[in-house]
Amino acid sequence: MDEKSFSEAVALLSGEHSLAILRTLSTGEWRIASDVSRILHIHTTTASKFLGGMHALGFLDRRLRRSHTRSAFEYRIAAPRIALALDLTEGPAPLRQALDFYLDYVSHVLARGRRLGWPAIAEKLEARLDKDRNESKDGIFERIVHGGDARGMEELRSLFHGIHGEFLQITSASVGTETARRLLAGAADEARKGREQVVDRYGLRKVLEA
Amino acid sequence: MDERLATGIDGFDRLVQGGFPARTVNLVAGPPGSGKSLFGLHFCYNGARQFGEPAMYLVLEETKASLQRVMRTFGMGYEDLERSERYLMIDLGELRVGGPEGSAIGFREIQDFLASSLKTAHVRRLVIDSLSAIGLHYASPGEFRERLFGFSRFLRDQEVTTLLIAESPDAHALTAHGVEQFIADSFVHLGLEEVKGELRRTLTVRKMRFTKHDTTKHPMYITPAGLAVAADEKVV
Repeated sequence: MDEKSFSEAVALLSGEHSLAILRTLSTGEWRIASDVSRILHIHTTTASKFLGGMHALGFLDRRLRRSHTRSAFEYRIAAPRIALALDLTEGPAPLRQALDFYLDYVSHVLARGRRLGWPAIAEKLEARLDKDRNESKDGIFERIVHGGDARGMEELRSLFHGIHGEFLQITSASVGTETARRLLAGAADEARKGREQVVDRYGLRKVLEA
Repeated sequence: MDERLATGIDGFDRLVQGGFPARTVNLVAGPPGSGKSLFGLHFCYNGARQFGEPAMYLVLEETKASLQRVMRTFGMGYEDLERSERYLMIDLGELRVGGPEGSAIGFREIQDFLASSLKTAHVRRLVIDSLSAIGLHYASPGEFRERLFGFSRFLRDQEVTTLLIAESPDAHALTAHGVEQFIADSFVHLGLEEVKGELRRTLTVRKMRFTKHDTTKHPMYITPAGLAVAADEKVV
């Protein structure tokens, strides 16, 4: 659940009649707002607003009941247990920061590769990025667009875990695994500077250590 | 042990039967400004350019840009050699973790690097500039000596001839830890002496195993073409 839905659910559930309304639905039977209103002696509009809101948040099922005179929505509880889970990794801001960290990491790897003084390594690292640049770019943008999805962060980590693995392979072939790890670790340290909190909180650097 | 690697430095090679014995570990020490790095650059560059022997220069102390400037000053362009991996100037500062001011590089890190890279690039000549910078990695002189001993054994097992560059702290101490010259197969000391208000560079081969070498202190000059040792002159 994202922050917006979480806030709405908390506001709705903290209303005066909220728990009483939910109890009328606890048997699992379909009920319309006027049923709830009659049982609890509350205004129909109050019951209707709560039921509509809970449905919008996914806690209630809803269907249209038609009669000769009028139609009305009826509701039943979707599951007997209601749980609110707020995933703080969701939302575009952490994802953007994560993306910035990883792009900085790549940039520092390329810079260190060039400064090291072994042209073939630098060329191979750059060629790796050039190879499927469009594919990677599309993937990154897709993840930003779907930043509300909790999987966005995981997919970003996975993407750069793969790129890091190839960097390690390229560099190790010339200078050995231990040296390659040091070179890449130095780049990750540089990229982490100034954004330590988000990097540590979301485990962004861990995928660059394998 | 007959094979020798000439430095190409004017006047030097004939002092040592043509060059450094192959697959040995050699020490070049002297005070700041005595020409140590330039000596190492000649050894690598001339090796790659004149003798076709792939060379690697490891930078630990000075900046790589500064050494590249020195090379340009003395007409040692090496871009073509670098592209073909016959001359690599490696800035080991890039291996520091935690940024440029991060942890110093020690013998273990250098050995890890060399274990792969010497074979990959088929290196025959190696310069490590400098031992003094590596010394910063160790808390005590005893630990430095112990690690240096192990490192020199590693180097002797490689198909490479090595020059270790080291700083002489003052006129009385030839090397910083007093042990480097005993571990190395040869010891070339570069001096910078003040004579009548003028600085004069000198070169002395203090030790070279497997070699009937000259032991005289010779004047050494920096010319537009680089170092030149006055092999027929002696400093009195």
